[in-house]
Amino acid sequence: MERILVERGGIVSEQPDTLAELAERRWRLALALTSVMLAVYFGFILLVAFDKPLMGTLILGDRVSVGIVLGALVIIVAPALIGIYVRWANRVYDPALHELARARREAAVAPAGSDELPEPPAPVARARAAADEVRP
Amino acid sequence: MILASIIEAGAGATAPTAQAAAPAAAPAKAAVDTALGQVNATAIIFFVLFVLVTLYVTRWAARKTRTTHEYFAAGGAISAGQNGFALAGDYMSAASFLGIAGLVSMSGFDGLIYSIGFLVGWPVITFLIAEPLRNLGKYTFADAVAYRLKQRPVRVAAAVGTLTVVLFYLIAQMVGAGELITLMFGIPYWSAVVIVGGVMLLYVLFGGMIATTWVQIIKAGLLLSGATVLAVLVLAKFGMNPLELFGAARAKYASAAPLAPGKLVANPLDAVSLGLALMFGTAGLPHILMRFYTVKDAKTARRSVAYATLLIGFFYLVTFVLGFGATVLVGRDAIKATGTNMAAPLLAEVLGGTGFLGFICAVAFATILAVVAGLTLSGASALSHDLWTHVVRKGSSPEHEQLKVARIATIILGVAAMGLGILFKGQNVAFMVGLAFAIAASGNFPALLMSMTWKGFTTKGAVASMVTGTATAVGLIAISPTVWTEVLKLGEAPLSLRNPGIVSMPLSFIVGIVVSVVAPEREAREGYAGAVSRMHLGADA
Repeated sequence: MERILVERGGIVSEQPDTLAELAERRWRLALALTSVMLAVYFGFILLVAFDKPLMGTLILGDRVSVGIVLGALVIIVAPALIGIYVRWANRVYDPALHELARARREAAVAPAGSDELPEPPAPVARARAAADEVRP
Repeated sequence: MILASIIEAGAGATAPTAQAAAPAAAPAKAAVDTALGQVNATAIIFFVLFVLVTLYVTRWAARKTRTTHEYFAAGGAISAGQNGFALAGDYMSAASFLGIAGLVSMSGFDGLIYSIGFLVGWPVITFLIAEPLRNLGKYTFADAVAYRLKQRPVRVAAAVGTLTVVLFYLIAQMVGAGELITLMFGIPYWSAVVIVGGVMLLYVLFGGMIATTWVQIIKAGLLLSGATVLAVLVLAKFGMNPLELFGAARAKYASAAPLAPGKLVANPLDAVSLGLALMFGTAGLPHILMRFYTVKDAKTARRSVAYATLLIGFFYLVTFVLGFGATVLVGRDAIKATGTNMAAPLLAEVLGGTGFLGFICAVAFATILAVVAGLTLSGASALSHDLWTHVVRKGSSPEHEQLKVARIATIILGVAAMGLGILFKGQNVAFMVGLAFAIAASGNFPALLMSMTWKGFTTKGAVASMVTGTATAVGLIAISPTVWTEVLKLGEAPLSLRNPGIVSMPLSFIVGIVVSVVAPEREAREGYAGAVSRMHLGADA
């Protein structure tokens, strides 16, 4: 019962690199974007901690400080990074996943016994090509 | 009071604990010319209207709630836009609205630091958690952690982490609710706690996740529109130009420099530690994570978190305008007289009269009610789905029994919330929200991330990571100035760090990695390929 899912692992090994590659590409982009957010946020915090005079400097006719402008920018960066990710996911990730899922369904209905797949089926190759197009 | 605790837990500012004395502060209205604290007909009408509408929604939801999948995950039928509002609703607590507006009004720029901390966790959820979590799990985040590991130990540890976060968060919300409502409506503390607990129980018990989601959506809509109208009224006084508003605040409090950093970030280590807890704690909050199961697939989960981030980011920008508006139009002395959390309601009164004050008070009440409902439901899911179904019944509990246990768990938590709310009356509980974030960041987030990204992660590693993270966070805050000195009054604290995040979160990762490497688990390694497939392609691939 607990280990029921392990058997599913067998399905994956049929196309070892395709899903693994796509998964790795997603994690790489995810980690890169997370790092950008981390750098921006902690950069802001450390500026506040170590350079208060700079953050308090008044600009734009003495009506706003550098700190407030930078803070508002951090608030805008967060959804902007998400926008980059969602755009990538819609254009590259989702279509590639869709192709992979279809290839699996086709492989599943293929006559039993024909276990020699000389080359990846066309959808897989297409998915691979699509995923290669935009490397994060 | 809720926010003040975070501040105290975090940045080391010796924030006045005026909030803790909020009920006592109610008579202070004599010093200020405000209707706050008096029986306000508009507030009562709006609040009763909100309760009636949401109870009607609950009745409708109750008819649709027949299975645990509907009770805990709204049948997976929530759309991306709806879930975006519900996530935002879960996150925009009264602490965010009243607390941050109050903090901005009194400290200017420093309030912005908090808004930002609360927002930056959302990209982390989007990139690292939302999609794989949706594909791996069913009702709780433990589903995802335990996917290829041994179910029982992982679920016990995850349930402990969930319940600890939920209880600290609940206490802070209930005590805050009691004090706020006493201050706003002039009713006794205990009756405020019982009203919040009782109405919340009706939502969750009968309407489950469907009702809780719609209560969040309605509340988020009310809160966002109320705050936006208020901000537009403020800006209208300054030619619709925020710069004019900031300039006016600077002119009025030139010596206090409201546009420059104040005392909040005094110690960089404390600031970074709090920042870590806020950023990664959001990605470990059980009531937020649970929302990703209410949508039909990973793509919808991704879209919903994007909507939520936009709404929350917009909300914090609006709150910043409200805070500065209160500084200029209400004045810091008048705000201070009511305990600093009332900046937004006082501003509403100045700009829109008693009627608008009543509306904003009712929205604040509704906000607490909705957040408490979400917390209770996620605690109930840990008790019934993780502990009962998977630990006691080893994964094979009949559907009707699961639903019954879920409802019993809901009642237990609802009653506990009311009891704790009354028990902690007058206590300084503000540190508890900061602590809840620290536990979520240290106990829940590392195990969740490692289980999804690292092939070599093991059952023992997961349990060790969750137990270490939770225990270290709680232990370190107990000996920090936040609790040792300010709550327990034991004198100088053994530890100078105010928020445990910078120690407890890395420690949780290290322990999880070391234990997994020292004692490898073959089945967990073999199961990873299946988990990867499921994480990306979902259940039906």
